Amino acid sequence: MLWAGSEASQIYLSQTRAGVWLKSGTDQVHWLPATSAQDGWRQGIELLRHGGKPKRQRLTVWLSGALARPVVLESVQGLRKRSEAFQVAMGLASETTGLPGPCEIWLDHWVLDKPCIAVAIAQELREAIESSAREEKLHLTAIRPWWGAALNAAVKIQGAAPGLLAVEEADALTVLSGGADVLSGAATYSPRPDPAQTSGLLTRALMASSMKPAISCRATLIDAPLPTADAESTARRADVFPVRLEEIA
Amino acid sequence: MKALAVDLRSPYRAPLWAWALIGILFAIAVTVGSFAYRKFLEVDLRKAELADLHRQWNQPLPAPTTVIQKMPYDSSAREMLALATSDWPSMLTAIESVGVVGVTPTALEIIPGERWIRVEVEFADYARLLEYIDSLNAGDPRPRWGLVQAQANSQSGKPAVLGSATGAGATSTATLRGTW
Repeated sequence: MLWAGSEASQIYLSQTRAGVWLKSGTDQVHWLPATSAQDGWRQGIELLRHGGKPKRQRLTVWLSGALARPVVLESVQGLRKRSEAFQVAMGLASETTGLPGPCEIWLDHWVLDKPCIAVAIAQELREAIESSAREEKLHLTAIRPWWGAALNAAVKIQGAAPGLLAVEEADALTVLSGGADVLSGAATYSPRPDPAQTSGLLTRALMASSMKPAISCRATLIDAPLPTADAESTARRADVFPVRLEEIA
Repeated sequence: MKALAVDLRSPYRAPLWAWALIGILFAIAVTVGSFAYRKFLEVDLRKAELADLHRQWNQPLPAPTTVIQKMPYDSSAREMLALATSDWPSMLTAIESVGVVGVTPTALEIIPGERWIRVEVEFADYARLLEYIDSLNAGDPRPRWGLVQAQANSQSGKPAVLGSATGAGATSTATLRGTW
């Protein structure tokens, strides 16, 4: 079992629930049901406030795949600069990912005539998070997709070998695939398909990419209370939202 | 595949007050810099002046030159002083008191700056002229009067100089000088 997280207080947001971990509190993550990401964010802030946390504390925000969606920007003829690629990716983000409204993006290292991965977030959600963080005097250390932590954990084990990674969260399934040291495919399914649909979907993805199941992984967010031994491990490593990696059968 | 370091935060933009602070600090820096530059130039100037003063200080002093300027009234003052301290009244008295037949004073000129008196006389013959001069010098241990020039007019119209023969009835002139 691997762990993904960071060192400040942390909040995990999805469309259906929020997880809050107070850095100086207990090691347990408080899971809260939510009707939307904004609702989960508000509840998380309330919990931080009621936890007696002083202002100006550091906070890392993790987003589910449904809120921060990957998109592969194929090589576009005529693009010369990264800023141009950024504008193109931002223009395509809403339509490609299915996120409502205008989007903000993060763009990976763009190279001329090479595909590049971008991550999109709804502009409304990012503004809501950042504005309320300013009001609450919270220092946002990062806003990251949780599937990114799962990807980094998988790369740590598998290296830069070609492969396929399916990241399962409560409200989304994110499928990433790529060759050596490159991400060439990314898709998010939200709401999360049921297990049978997920199995069929992964089988088709493997066949399409001609990959062996042995180098394909399924990453799952563990949102249940951990056994005591695992909880101690969490405390030691200061990782909060753990990921379970297993090979796709 | 590759690891990603995704961060979806807005790119950091410094708040307005930070830009204002930067502007103020920049203005202060420019002001202090220009002030320091001016002072630097001033120090250079003072150093040059100090070096110049040192150089002047180490130069040998020029020899003192005394400028004697004659004032406009100097000659007049000296003339007045000569008149005031001269013995010319006694010399005039001698001229007045001495009388020799055949010798007649015709002109008198006192020159204080030179401390002498010039007397023009007409004389009948040289013997009387010399007698006249001896009379002027009578009783004086150091003779003051002397003959400067004598000119005797002969009947032929040619002038006769001192020591030459004189003719009777001719008008001869002589110049005497008395010094004090």
